[in-house]
Amino acid sequence: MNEQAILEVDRIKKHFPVYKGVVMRKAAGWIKAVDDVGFSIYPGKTFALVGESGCGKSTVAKLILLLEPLTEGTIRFEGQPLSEVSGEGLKRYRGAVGAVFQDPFSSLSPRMRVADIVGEPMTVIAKASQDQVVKRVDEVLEQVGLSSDSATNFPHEFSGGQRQRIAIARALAASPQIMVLDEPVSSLDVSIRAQIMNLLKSLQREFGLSYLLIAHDLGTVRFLSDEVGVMYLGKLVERASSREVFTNALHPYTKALQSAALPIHPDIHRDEIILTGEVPSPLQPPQGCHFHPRCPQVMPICREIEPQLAEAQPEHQVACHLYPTSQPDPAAPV
Amino acid sequence: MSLDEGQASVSTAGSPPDDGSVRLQVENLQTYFYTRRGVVKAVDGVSFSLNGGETLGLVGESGSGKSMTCLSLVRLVPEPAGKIVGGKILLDGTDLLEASSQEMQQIRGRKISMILQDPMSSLNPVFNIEKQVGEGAKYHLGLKGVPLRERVQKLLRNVQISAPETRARHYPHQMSGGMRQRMVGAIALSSEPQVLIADEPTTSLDVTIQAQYLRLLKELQREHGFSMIFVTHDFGIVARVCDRVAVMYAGKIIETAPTRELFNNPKHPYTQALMDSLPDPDKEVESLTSIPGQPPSMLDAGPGCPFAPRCAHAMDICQVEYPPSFTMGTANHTADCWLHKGDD
Repeated sequence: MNEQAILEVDRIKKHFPVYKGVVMRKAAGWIKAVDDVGFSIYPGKTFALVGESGCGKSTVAKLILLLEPLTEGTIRFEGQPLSEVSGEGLKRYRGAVGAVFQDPFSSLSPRMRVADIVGEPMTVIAKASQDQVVKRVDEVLEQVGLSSDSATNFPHEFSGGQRQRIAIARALAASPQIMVLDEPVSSLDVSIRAQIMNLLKSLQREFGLSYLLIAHDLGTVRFLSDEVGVMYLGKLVERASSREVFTNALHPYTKALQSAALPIHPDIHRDEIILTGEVPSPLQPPQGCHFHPRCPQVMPICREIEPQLAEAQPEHQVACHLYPTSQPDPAAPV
Repeated sequence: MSLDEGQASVSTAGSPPDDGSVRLQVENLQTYFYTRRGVVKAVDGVSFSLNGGETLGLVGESGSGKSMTCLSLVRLVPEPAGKIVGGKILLDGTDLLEASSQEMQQIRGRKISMILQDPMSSLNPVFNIEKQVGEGAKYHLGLKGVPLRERVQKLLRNVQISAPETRARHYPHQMSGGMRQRMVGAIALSSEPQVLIADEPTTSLDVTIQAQYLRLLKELQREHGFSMIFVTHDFGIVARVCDRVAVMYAGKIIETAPTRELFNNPKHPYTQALMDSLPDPDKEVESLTSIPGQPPSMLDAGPGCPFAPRCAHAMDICQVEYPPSFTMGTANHTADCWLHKGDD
């Protein structure tokens, strides 16, 4: 892709200190929630981050939404590093990035009317007048498939699917260019999921939105995304186009995730790769490759040296010693 | 009752899962909730049977009555708001709805036991694992002292907990979600029940841990020969673990069929629509078929089919009369839908 990326995430890190003691608090260690993660989001495209709970995918979303400061690395919006932006520029960025969260029961204030919930980003970011806000609220409610009558209602009067539509309307209100979707359908009923997924896709097509999708369900990811990054314990272990990842996964963890994804018909048989053990504590990640204690294809080198994310095949990056490109320095003795 | 009984059933490992005998027969079960705004028919005339060693999937969306059906089976419907108002639950021929509460205490855990969705809230944080896993065996099998301790360790080994001697002294907060849910499994199986009800046991687990847990349950079933009712909203889980499926909507079972038959040949428009709306990780598609509208409010349900307002094939009769169960071509396949009048 030669097009200019709208958002570039360049080797970002987020380390949380773990304190010990009550009076004499001191940092006893660091949780590397996000460790050297990089990717780009292109206009009108969807980048999906996949992984199990605790892998750091939601922390990446928080970093992009500026809800947490970065430990290291840069996030560039339209080519400009966010660390160099302040004041009005930062406000413009916040308006350009909308967010939809997992649980529409906790992401909408129960004491605000729909009109106020959806209109708030406009009042705060765009400093729009009351008339403009009312007009825009009607407009976005219609875009997400709700009637404008619902503007005067409270969130409790809606079902889960409708609430998620309200959350999407709020994210759309300030006309963003990027939407961060953190598990947008996983709390919804099966018959409603397809409605919301279709809505997200048609909104993307209509407004040329870029999405950062965070999800653990591979069906959702396959349907919505163009590019996929697989995370494990704070690191990207594989990154390629969605088609590549689903048809030609290289990393053993990606393969195991795919094998664990439940088929939609009993006659579909997958190679059964059932991982033993659980995700280790991020406080003391295993030496070498973080995945080696659970990896079915583990080699001696995996226990010693951490593999680097590198292009093993054209436009397909993977961090695994099965592929010679992942060794830190080809000249170094193994 | 002693340890020997447990070992006896272990030795039957390798027997075919479904032994063909009817273990549990539920007839026209009705559980209603009386609220200020009216009567909610959470379970509205549910009938099904469960064979020995069989796994029945109970599938439906939230509010369809699948969890209430399960709670009714063990008579744990929250009272006084909820009440089982009619029907029969025959376990090996005896009606559980006629059992006294003392008799029910002997049945719960011993004959029917349950795994709930969230292992965080179904384990007691202030008791160690040994105490919680051993409680059933102590109460139902009368074990204590060293035999009880050995029994607990055997149960923990059964659910693939490494170092059970140390783990037995741990508390729930010292364990990960997957391990906690295995502890809940060990508790459920501690008195060798004949029927295990698993109510969305993997919903709170990660995908790779879910795969581990599903395999463990199937292995335990093969070994111990219990029947299983598996409640889920995920057709993928159904495809992987269930022998037969019952699809629920608005308190009713609207279609039942053997798993493969249901996937190949769904007959009820709701089942068909649900299957079409699933995003397939194995395929790239441009748009998904979605079901319009919202699941119905269970208050003031009319006399007609509850799915009619969302159904693409709704006819006049659907608005006024709920259809009977029509039998589809093959045995064991029924659907409650007027479209199939005359098919049987």
